[in-house]
Amino acid sequence: MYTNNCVINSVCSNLCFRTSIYVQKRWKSKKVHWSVLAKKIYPVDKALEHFDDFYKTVFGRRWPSIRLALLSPHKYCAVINNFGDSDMAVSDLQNIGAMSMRRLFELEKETIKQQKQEDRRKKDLEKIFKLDRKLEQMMVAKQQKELESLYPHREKSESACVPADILTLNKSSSDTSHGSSVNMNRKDHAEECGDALIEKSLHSSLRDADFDTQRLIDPASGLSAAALYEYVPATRLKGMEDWIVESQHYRYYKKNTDFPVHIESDHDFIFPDHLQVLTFERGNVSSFPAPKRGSTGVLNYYLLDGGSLLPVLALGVNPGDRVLDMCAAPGGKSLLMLQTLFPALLVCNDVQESRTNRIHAVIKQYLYSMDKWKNRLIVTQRDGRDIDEYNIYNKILVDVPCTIDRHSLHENENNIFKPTRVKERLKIPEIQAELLGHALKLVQPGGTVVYSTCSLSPIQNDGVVHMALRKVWEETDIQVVVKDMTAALEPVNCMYKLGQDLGLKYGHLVLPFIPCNFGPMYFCKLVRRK
Amino acid sequence: MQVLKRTSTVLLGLRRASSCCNGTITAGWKRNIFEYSTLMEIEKQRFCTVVEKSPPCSTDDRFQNPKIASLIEVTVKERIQPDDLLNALEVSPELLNKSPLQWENCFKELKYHGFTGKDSLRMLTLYPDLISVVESNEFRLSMENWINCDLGYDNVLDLLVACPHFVSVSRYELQRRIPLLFSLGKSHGKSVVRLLQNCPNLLYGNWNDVEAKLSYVENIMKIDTTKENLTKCYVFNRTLDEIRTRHAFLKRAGLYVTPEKIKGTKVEERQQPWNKNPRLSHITDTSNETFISEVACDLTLEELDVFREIYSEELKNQDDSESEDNLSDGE
Repeated sequence: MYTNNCVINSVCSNLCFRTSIYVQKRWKSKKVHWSVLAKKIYPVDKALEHFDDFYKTVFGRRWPSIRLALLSPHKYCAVINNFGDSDMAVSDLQNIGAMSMRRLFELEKETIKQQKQEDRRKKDLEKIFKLDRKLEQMMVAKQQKELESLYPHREKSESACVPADILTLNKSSSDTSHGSSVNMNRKDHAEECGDALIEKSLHSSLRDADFDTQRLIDPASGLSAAALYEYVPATRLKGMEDWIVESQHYRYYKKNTDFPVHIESDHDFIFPDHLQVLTFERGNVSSFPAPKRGSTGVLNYYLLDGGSLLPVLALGVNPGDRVLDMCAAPGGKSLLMLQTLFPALLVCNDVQESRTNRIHAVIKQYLYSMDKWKNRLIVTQRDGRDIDEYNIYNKILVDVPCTIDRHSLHENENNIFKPTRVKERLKIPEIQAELLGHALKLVQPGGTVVYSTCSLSPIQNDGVVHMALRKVWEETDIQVVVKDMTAALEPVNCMYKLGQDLGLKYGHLVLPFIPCNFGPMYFCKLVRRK
Repeated sequence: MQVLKRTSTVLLGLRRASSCCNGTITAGWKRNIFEYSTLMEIEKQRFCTVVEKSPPCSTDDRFQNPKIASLIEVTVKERIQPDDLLNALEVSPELLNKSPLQWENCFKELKYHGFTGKDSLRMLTLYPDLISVVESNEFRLSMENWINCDLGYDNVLDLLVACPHFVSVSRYELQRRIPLLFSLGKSHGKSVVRLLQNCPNLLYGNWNDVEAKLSYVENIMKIDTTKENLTKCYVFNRTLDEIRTRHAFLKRAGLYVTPEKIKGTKVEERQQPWNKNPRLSHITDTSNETFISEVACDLTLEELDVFREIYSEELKNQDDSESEDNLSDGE
């Protein structure tokens, strides 16, 4: 082939040289014709197609609402930078209508408390009413007994069990003087006879029943059972043309539990005093202006997805904690943890240099006098699975790389649904499980690990937690407790749409909902016991 | 009250009698009328004081109003029920200011052109100025103009009954707009009339807007206007932004799939997801509540409200960026 080309080239050059024929070189150009562009399928389209196919089966009738929210611009919340002009920033944002998240949660908590008290009162009242009703019933019963003792002939008539009408007729004909008492007995009789009928139906109805033989279906004729067993072979399986075999995709997500899982409920979470997060109320679609630099030379607030607040709150950072953010880039959640002013040590780790650079950039924009932070804030660049500082951290946030559903639907650049990144995407749940498993091994006994993703996929969420828990149970003797935060998250419902009745076993899912368009964000709180 | 009622009925009877007689006893009935009218004046004053003190007048009381009574007399000839007249006067009370003679002439003229009595009353109710239009002879000219539009005479009558204010449209405007509407209504007079009945704005509004809406429906929503009957929906009554908002809402929720051309059998064509798309009339002709409950069943009104706000912002940004592009191109 090469020799052929050489020959052709040499012939051409000779020709050009001798006869001076100009041969135009063909340049490869980009296809920019509108019809070509219209037909092109971008990663964004692929992502949407995949979600439509997969999430529709998971979320059912909720999917249109989630889809609408995912495809619309999402809502931000502003984290006030305590190292900038925080008071001024808060008042500025409040002037444009933003509200403090902490205040909102507190108010909601109070209303829930009041509601619960009211419910309890109602229950108590109901109990009292019940007691009253019982007393009344007892009174009626007693009165009846008294009546029975006054009119002993009633028992005789009962034993005869003659239809009430006949009885009254007989009575009226024989003894007209006891008219009133007869009428009273008539009612009782009717009831008694009714009871007798019910009893009969319970005990001997089957024995005495006449079967309607015409309604019996003969299995030999008509719709025979054999017809139901006829095998109809599948001609085509829909979805198999796609690059992912569904069975492979679901392999990570097995629902049956074959190992012990301890689940404890968490009743409250702490909203740190110094953490100030502002947002607009439900239904308000105003946007925050771009942050400005204050007197200290750093930006006044950081804008991030409201969903990112919940994993940090679930982690429950306390004063003096040593915290590891395993996959920290771009650094929003790390900054949130820093703004609590609680961590004695915060290690922000990520695997790629480009990503750690983004963490550095955020730190530079939001913190000043970096020398003071040297021992408290460390940025490392390692694979999360290679971190070997065991029993040092008591709080670990594992915000794993995922399909980033919202990003995948809006940006073609760096999109995980690019055809060239198929293998990478298939490996995601495995890597996630390994990262979480490793975090559970790293954390000190008694420490907390929060696993979070910004995906709606049950495989990457509960599936991965399940897989990591099983792996930890199989390989080590670490005892892990899953914290059920349903009760603690009650006040949060005013600002977030949390996925309920989705069959989530371990974690909680913030669903995108257009009036409060945060998320998607899944988080699961795990505490290591041993 | 009773006296007033009696006098008015007597008066009416007298007038009716006079219309039958040929002026032989003119002087006699004139004297009678004079007597009764003076009696009525006295009674009227009494009646007014009673009315002031009494609750809002009932239908029976309104029959006593001499103006109304005379109008009833005119309209009864056209086989119009007094109740219908009263309803019409309630809708447009300015009609009371016109004399019975004007009414009579108007009805005559309309009848001459083929409008029935009921239709005429309806037209007057919707467009009270019609009387003055008829008086100034503009009506005849206008009818000529309309007939020249080749919509079909019956269709024109139907249209003018539904939208009587079209009478005042100039000849120039008609000549300019009707051919455009013919292109929209598949060259059928009846469909043009239907379009105009549904969306009267089509005759006055900016044609560029109409074209923009049509091109959005055809090119962006990819609705086949040859199959989807535009004359049966009110799409042109909505603004373009409203249509865009509802379309985007459904599209983002996955409830509207943009149709594509496919080569396949009819069965395969029928299985395509866009066959489940809601009809254009369901998208454009429904109120927000009906739209949510019947078209976008899995979504809520709250979501639609918020989305409308978000999308209006998006549209504004789009327009801004487009205008900036145009400016930079111009430079």
